[in-house]
Amino acid sequence: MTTQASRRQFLRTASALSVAGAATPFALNLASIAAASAQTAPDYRALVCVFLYGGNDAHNTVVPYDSASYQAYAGARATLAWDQATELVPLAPAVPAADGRQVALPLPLAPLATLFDAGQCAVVANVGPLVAPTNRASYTGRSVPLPPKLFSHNDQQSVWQASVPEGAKFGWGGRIGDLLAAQNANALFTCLTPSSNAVLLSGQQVRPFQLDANQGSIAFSALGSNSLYGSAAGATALRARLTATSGHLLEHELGRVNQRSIEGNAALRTALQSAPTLTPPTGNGLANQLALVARVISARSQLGATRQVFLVSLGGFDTHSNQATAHTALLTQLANAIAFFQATMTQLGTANNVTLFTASDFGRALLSNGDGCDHGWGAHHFVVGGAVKGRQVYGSFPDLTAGAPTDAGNGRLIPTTSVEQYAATMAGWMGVGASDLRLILPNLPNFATDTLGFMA
Amino acid sequence: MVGYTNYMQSVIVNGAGVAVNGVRDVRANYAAEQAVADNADALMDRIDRCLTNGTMPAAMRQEIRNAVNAISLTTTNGRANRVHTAILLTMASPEYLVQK
Repeated sequence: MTTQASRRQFLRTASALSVAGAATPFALNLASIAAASAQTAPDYRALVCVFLYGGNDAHNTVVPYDSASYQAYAGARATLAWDQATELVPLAPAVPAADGRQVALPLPLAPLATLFDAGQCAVVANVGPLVAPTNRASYTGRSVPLPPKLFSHNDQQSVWQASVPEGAKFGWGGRIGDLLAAQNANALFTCLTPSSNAVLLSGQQVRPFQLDANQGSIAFSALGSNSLYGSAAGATALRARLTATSGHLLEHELGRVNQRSIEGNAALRTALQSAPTLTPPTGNGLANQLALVARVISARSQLGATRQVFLVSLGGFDTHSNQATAHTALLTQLANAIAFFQATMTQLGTANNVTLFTASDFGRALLSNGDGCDHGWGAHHFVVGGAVKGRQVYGSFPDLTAGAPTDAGNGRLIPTTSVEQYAATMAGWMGVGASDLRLILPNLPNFATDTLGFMA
Repeated sequence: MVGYTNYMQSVIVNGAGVAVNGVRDVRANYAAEQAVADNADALMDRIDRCLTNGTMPAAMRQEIRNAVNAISLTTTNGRANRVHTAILLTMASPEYLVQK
């Protein structure tokens, strides 16, 4: 795929998105563009972002295990520390770290340790928002530009997803969608989420499509039942009113948005009728979201999709208090949901086509506040899938000694790997050209390497 | 728009707010509209005056009027259904929703 061809096709599909004809079954009928893009994109690829809202405590997610590192961890964490002998599962990377350092996952994440050892999961250590490489000296001396509004939930969620604080219009998932939507027969099904709306999936052209756990997508209820207050004529009139054409530009556009919504909803429901029924672990809301994502992936041919970005989410990670109980339950839910999803992808034959990754507002401070821990910055994350070069820890696992080069104070980690490098690695795998990575991710040129090498 | 329309479809009939004994505590009084519900033109005059300040385009008015007339007055709640239909169809219309 060349970048130029991709851009040209992108413009074509994007314009089709905005001027879809009134009568055509828009969602399934852009076959000519599908044929054109088939030459450049024969395979299917998707990214699934698992966003952990609240700021996941990375220090208790990937834990130092060799004796010296564990002592530094345990000393600072006090009662929050996992017990080395009974609560940790050491990871066995394919190539052990040269400095002899080892890491482990806590027992609730044991399913991820299994995936790690099977080569389907990698750890990316101490990743977070950065403008340029930063360490303790340049951070405290303010000699490098820093990401705005560090340690703030809503802003750092936005910086993770869009490189700028709250108010951002476009996220990198949506910008990947912008560049690759041309390869989809229907650009509408490029970025999808069963979660609440998030800036990650908003592109300049591509908009996030809201999935509904029960019905696939949310319909205008009167149109679904063909009855408005008991009247079929009322439902027919509602459809006509919602999709009215007008000489007024804004009115007309609202009508087109409604029309796309109605047609997209119908197309998705039709496509999902032949999707397999899945049985996610019970009582696991994240697994339910991932099951819906898996069903949409299984319907990719009917939806004309070859490149998709999904967002699912799990909240409750803001563990200032009650961490021992709350965080254990959250990690258990997370690991079971990811293990279920990866098993489903293997079952559907799409394990090599789909890459799941975690993201969160920020990591947390190393020091215990007695019952939990407070807002931090850098964090460890997981990348899972058949195309991931797994069984390896990427980036630099931090030294947790107080005053270490990565210590922003209280053991809040100064990231050694940028979110933008993390994103670029996956965007490159999706097929975004090397020069386009820097369009999506503005600070990338400030780092030594654009990508991290964890994707095959 | 899906969420808004589905929500309004319920609110117009059932009201909003806290339900006490199954009845929500913030409800519109449509007595004046129901009084003229047997006359679709009179009903549309009132809806146009109250919701679109007399600016409802003729084609929109005609579409809604036809939908109102299709609802029989002999059925239970016929008058109420006519009023609810006229209000929701207006409130779901781009001509109503776009501020001018």
